[in-house]
Amino acid sequence: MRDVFVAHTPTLPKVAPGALVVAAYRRQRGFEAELLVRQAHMADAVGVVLPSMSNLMLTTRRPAERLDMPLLTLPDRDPVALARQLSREVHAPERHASSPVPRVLKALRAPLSTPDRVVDAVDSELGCVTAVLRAEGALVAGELVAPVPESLFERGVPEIVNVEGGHLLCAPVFVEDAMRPDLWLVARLPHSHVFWVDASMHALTAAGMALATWAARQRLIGERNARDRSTLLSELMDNSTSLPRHVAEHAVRAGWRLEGWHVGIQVRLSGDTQQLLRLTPRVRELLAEHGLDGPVVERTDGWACWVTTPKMPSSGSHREFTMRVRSALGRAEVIGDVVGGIGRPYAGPAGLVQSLKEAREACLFAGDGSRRGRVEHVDELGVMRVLADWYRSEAFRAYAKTLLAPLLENGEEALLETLRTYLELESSASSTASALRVHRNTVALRVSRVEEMLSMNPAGPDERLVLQLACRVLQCLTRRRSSRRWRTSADQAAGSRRR
Amino acid sequence: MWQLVADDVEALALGASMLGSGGGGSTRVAALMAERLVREAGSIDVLDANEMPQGAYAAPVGLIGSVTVFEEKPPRGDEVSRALGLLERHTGRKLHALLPFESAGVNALLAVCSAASLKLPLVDADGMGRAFPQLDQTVFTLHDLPVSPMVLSDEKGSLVVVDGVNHLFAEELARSNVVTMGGWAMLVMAPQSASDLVRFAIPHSIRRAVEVGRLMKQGGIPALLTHAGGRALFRGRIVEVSREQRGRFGGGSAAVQHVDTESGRLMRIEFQNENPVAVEDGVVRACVPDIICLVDAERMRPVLSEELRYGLEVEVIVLPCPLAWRTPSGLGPVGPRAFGYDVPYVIPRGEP
Repeated sequence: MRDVFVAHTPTLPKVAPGALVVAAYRRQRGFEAELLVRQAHMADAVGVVLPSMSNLMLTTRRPAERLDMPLLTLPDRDPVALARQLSREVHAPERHASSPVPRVLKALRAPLSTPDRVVDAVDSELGCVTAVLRAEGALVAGELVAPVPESLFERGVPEIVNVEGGHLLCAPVFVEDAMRPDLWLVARLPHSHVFWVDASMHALTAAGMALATWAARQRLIGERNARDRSTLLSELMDNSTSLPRHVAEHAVRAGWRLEGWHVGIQVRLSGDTQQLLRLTPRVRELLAEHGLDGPVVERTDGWACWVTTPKMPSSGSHREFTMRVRSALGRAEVIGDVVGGIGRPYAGPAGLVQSLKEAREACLFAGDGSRRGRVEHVDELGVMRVLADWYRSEAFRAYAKTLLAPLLENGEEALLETLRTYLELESSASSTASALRVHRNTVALRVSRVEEMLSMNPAGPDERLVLQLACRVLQCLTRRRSSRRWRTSADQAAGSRRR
Repeated sequence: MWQLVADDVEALALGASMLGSGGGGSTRVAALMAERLVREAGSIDVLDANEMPQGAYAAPVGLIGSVTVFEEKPPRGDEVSRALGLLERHTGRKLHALLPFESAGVNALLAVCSAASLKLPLVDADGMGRAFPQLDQTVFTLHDLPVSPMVLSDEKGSLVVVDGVNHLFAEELARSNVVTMGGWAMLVMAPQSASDLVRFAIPHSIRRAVEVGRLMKQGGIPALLTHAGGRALFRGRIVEVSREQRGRFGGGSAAVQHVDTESGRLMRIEFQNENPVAVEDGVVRACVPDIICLVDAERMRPVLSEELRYGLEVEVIVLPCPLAWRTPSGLGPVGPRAFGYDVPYVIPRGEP
């Protein structure tokens, strides 16, 4: 369309080719439309608009169809105002570019309380259908009318995708990471002029900033709450014997019930603990889904949770409780690699601290693979708890390091691994060989080299005990850094032994 | 001078209805009346205007109002004689003859009725040469001849004299009186002198109506077009009729689909009392003052605009209008623009 022409009479003066003809007859009779369609066709016009007309007779519609002349009837529209508006859109489409941005900004002046407000504002100002998506494509707010191409989420740049019947405008919303968007604002626009699409994209970007502010605010509130919880729990741990008044008050404000019977659960996350804060709601959700409603507090390596009951849980209930935690954490693959520990039920604030400590202890042994599940109850640890004190003793850790220093310093990972497996598998060279998938002679050679380097003989009962403890402690330390690698080899060892 | 006899009335009725261009009203009742009155009178003298004595006067007569009401509420019979008496007293002029102001539709026959019952000669001329909806659409108005004093007369005996005004105002006064008088009235216009009638009136309009009727009866449309001039526009079936109030008269549009449906041809007939415009494929094929006539293809009778209905097969023909209307001044009161159609009067090139 190149021009807009207002026709006052059915006989058309010079109409430029490519013009849209707007009929502006004072007394519309209908028959003028017929003449106009023919005239417009002969003048190479692109269409005829008939304001203030509603029903067209067959004699008007048929010739228009035959001549391929679009005919628009707009009942109750003022032809002059319509022509003016059309003319502006035809001759100065760039005017579009300036209008939606201030309108969207005006609609989003007040801080957002929910992302729905962004959706509403964009929907009404741009006349489109908008959705807020998470970085992986899950819907947060609004309505998604067209499927978003998967490749969009990989790139993280604003994009306009042409889809059937319109355009999909996708604006990334960056909150934390400047490279990876946290949210996406996706708007489905009907077929529009390129200027309008561009302007809508700008407006969407502006709306995305409002959304980013909202998300950042939510995250800030979340972090503050997390910090408050963690501090409160630490104070509780420190003052378990006599609870200071301000701590008790804090606990009440946080909604923690300190009276009653508590069962502590420790969940440890291996790997990237940067994401800990963000994952807290998911952990809470998972536990709640399995009937484990209680506070979830962030710790450095995971979460401390507990469930409070007014009465002492029955002695048989711990098995069922463990099962529930197991199934909750069994479904935690979205969160990452997690293991859990469960303490015994204890009463009161001091009991809470005690139960959490036990849970922490149990957690230390959970998921180490050799014979254990991913969730451990402290009661099921048995004799291992005796060792736990050894593992935690700083003095013994230092001793263990000194003891195994010749191997560690020379980077003899293979020798250390062989020694550990050899000791775990009751000094059996053949079992060790099959666990490590090496020849039996290799095991014998390596053990003799270890003897040589450490100047110790693992065959002697005292030396054997010390060496095995040192290896275990070292395992604990390395597991913190790379639990996966350690567990895999231990699993192999255990598996081969079962065979 | 020629004699109009009772046997001519049927042809006159058919011809007058054709010249009515879809308007002019139903001629059924008026034709029966005219036939009886002419048969009683034996015959009527029909004079050419130049056969009138020097200084003689003739009055144009006709019906104003609704023909439908006229057919349901018939006249008493003395309306015109009372009106003429009053007009003669009012103007002090003796009237020698009558003429229809509209020699189409019901009014051609009512002039015959009046002449037969009053034993007056009929002048073979009229003011329109076809049917028009308004009293001011006559050659008398066109040439600024007085039409008032005019007398309206109804079947109850009341008489109304409209005097001192001409043209549209006279039409409006007469029209508003008709409403009070019960839907229709007989109207006698101001007496016209023989010399004015010779110069300005549309000549031979009664003879033309009779001829058109005879040709239609004898040879149908081909004979009519051959001998009376005119052109056949379209033959088809009415596929859509939309009616609405347009100004003072009802009107609307009809879509006619060509009998050769493969061709995809459609014609739009506009109507408001008469058929003012016929449009095909965005081209005005015919318009007022030419006489656009829809003929029922089965019964070979003209279709009045109120009889248009879905499914009717019609032949659309155009008869030429009197030459007086084709002048620029003539097209003023009766051209397409006078009926609200903003198109010039043209005969499309290549059409007779």
